[in-house]
Amino acid sequence: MGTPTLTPRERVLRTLEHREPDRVPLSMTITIDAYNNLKEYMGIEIDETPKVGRWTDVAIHPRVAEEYGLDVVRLGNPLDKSRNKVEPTLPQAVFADEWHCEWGKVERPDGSYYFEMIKHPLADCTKPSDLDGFPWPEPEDIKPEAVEYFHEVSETTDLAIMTKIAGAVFELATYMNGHQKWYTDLAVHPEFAYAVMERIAEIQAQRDINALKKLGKYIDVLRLSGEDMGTQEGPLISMKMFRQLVKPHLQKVWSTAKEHLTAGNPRGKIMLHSCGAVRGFMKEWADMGLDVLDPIQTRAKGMDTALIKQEVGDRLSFHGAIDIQWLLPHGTTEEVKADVRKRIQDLGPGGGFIVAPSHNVQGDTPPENLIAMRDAVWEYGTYPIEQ
Amino acid sequence: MELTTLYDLVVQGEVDSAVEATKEALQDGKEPRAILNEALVAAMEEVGRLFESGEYFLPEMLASGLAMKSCMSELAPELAKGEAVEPLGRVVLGTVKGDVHDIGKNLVGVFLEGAGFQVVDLGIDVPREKFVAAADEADLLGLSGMVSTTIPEMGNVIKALQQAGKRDKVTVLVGGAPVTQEFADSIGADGYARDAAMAARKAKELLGIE
Repeated sequence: MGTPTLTPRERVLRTLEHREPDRVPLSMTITIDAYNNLKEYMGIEIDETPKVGRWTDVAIHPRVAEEYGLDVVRLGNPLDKSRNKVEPTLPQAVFADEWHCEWGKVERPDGSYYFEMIKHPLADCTKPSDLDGFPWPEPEDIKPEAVEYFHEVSETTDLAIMTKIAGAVFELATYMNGHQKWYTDLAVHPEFAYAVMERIAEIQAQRDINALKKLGKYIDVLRLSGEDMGTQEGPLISMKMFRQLVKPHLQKVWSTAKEHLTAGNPRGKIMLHSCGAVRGFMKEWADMGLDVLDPIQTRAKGMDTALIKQEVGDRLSFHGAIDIQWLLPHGTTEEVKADVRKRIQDLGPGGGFIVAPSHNVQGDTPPENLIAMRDAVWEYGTYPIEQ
Repeated sequence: MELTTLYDLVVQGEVDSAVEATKEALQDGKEPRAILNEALVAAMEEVGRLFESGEYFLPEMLASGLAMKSCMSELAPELAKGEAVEPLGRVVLGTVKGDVHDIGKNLVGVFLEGAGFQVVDLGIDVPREKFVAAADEADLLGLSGMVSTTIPEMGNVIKALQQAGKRDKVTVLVGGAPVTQEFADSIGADGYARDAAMAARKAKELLGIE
């Protein structure tokens, strides 16, 4: 295990430029129960009331990030959504978002909980003209305190800063319509599906422009959005459908984001989150200018980390690859370390890899396994990677 | 209206055209049972094959499923006039407690109906007691779960069936994104299906139907 020679920020930026840094960087996103368990396990006491996002996720406090050993800190969305506040209509809804989707709290048998969508505002729409009367949100600007906060984190920590601003196009269309309806509409009402995504993309692109004008220089990795394109077994849609209906809108948002991010931070990179068996899309996404792909769901079909590195690893970086479906919640610490080592060996050479859990760490994951993941990065992640 | 044309329209997911074709076929005097078996059921088998071979994806499956269900709505009154069609078996489906995802389960329902089963769908977030109660009227219980933190509930449903003395009376089939054959075996399920097309085949196999 070598001595680190770079700051976390430099480590992350260098690897995303496909240059080997001193060590593979480490990143993580986490849900509230797992975060509290980790802090308790590590004996970290912090005066904070983390805001729980709609994926039951929380932003990790920069102090926790540093003490645990993360190289990336993810700062909360800086957009000021207060002007687009929507009151939920359903009695059991916990909150509504600016797109008029409503979310409720679902208790699980093991005592943890998760937020799930319970209302889809476009559920009764099937024609492009149905969208005319919809209360589309105005693209927001950032919160007044965001510049100061991003500046402070940038100045007082050495961490790479990741944030998300705009949001999804394809996946948001799914939320607004409901999964079953949306995937049916793609085949049965394609003009409607195209029109929905066109409207959404315009708003998302403008949000990025508004925010990156002031914050671009602080952001090292811009998480574009979650655009899940894969199931456990394969792509959700065909490449033909992707190219015809979805690609033009994603291209608009990605190109806009990249242009405005690099205007502020020339080394800044854009990252897409797309769960599932998405290997077939990776080259297309790299061609579209994507820099980083998250989360590399290794238990999904075809997501062989050695093969994807071979196929596209010279121009697409990877963030993730540590399984949360079985390994982190149910594996032993030895199994966690062995798997982290394998992923480092597969994806690390030549740079272009940041270790992270393959989604928000869920409430059933023991903190010992998160420590094991970190220890494995320190033990096996020094460059040059030992095969 | 040739039944091969209706078959093609269902495979292609042309919902409105398939419904029109069904009406035409009935007007042309085609036997409702023949329309069901030669066009609709056969079309869904082909759709399942296309999905498993990687040519069809979720949108195509749903479009064809919608076409099939829409055509079934036209056929149902005509089928009811004739000899009662004995279903292959009675299936009760549900997404387990703590889980509100249903698209996979809904597709399984479409394929099971397409294959000739009678399907009762208990919906989502189903408590184990409801599955146990439904077991009295079912040949097969289909448990769906989409989240790794909720699929252990499938094991609880099986235990509840055992405690109620009903485990031997009903076949249990499980499925969902985080479910594996290994998991299914560990909780004592009778079978596991990776997708809706496989679920229809597995249901027949487990119930000893050709």
